[in-house]
Amino acid sequence: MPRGLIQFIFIATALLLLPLPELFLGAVGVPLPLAAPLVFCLTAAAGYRAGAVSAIGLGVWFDLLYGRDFPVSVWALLAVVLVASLQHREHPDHRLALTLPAFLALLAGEAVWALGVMPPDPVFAELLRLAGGVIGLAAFGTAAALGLSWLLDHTAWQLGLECSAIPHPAARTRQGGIPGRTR
Amino acid sequence: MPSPQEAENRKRGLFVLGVILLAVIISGFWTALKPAFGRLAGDFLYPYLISFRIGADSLSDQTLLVFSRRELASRLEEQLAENRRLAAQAAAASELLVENDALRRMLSLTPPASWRYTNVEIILRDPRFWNERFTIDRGSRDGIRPGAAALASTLEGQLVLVGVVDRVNLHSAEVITIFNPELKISASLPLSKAIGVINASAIGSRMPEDRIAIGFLPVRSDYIIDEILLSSGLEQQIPPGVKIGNLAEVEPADSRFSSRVFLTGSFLPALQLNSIRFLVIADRIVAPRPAEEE
Repeated sequence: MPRGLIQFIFIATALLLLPLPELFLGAVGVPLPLAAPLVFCLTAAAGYRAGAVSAIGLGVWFDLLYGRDFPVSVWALLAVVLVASLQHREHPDHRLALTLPAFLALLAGEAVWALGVMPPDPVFAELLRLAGGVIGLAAFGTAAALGLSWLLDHTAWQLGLECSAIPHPAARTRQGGIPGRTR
Repeated sequence: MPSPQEAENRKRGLFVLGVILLAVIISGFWTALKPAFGRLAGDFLYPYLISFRIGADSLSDQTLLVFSRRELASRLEEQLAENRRLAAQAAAASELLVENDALRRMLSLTPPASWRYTNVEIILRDPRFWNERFTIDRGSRDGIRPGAAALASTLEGQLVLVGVVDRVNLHSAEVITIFNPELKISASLPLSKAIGVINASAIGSRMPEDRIAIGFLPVRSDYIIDEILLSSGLEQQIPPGVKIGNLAEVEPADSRFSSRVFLTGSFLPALQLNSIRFLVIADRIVAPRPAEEE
């Protein structure tokens, strides 16, 4: 099977399965942002093109399922892709280096959401509460992004794919030089 | 001849432009896309949602195991006694319905509408718009129709209006609640002898989170705060006389200095929807007209 097809199936399966816990737990009142961290991980691993297509597909899917009156998820996930692709230029050599880029990208996505749900004439207290929610969800999503990144990278390495946020340790040392440094 | 870097930048720019254009088109045609594709998405995910709900219900049923047999038997007897009491009430009410039907036939009046009630469970809620809409586990295959009323029961056993069925899939349906600003239905204030419209308020007016606006109230100064709001029956799909909430506030009326014809107020809904799980969908059954006597 061509490697490109395997990569496509890998990304499509991740998009179909990984956001399901967000739907299930959201139905019982547990907010678990997974769609935005997943889009961030795909952007970091496979580039902005894959990230943008994933963002549109996942955003439309979520907004249709919930019956929302406006596709806010599409724009929020595209904001995540935009900020992620502006920051993430070189493959980092350790996973924690993704923390700040993930936080900023997810912050942008949550900010779009906050703009979408903001009342027409907000008072200061409402703005503070929205800002707190944005920062909290972005922080929670960052932790989810690191976990998802680990899961996706290890799965990609098992499948022999090159789309991963962090280069395979063997690939890094094969290039020579000091282990742990970027290529 | 453009350099490879310039060509790459141009491709990237075109791609970004294409993505933004696609997102704008999706946003523009969203209202048209939502009914058909929303049904597809809902029906596709329904088996997974139901499986998750069955698993969650099994888990919560395990909490019954913490009670002793004596406690469980006592609760069962209480429920059986309550069921016998309700069955006796229902039997008395059905006798009244039979008598009412006979009297209407004698006067050649159209029989009143009767209602078919379907028990449903909420299987999906939007965490971003928690109180405004949710998905139930019955659809067109179970006879659910758009516009049917969604009712819930308070702890005292009183049925209250929660919302209206919006979109119906094959196995599931979406309900928009009275907290959703898109749902505008009439409500009557029997003590004040007035009818208003829920979620119809003056542009720019602010509302506390736990209250809902009611507009188009006739200008008068004798509204009774805390009086009950009931469904008016003007919407054919909503049973009349169902409690909606209690009037909380009406803006003051001063007809000497104002040419306004209507007032705006707010009410407290009868039931907060934070932890609601089970509903009843009321579907109107129109009885056939009696044959005219010669």
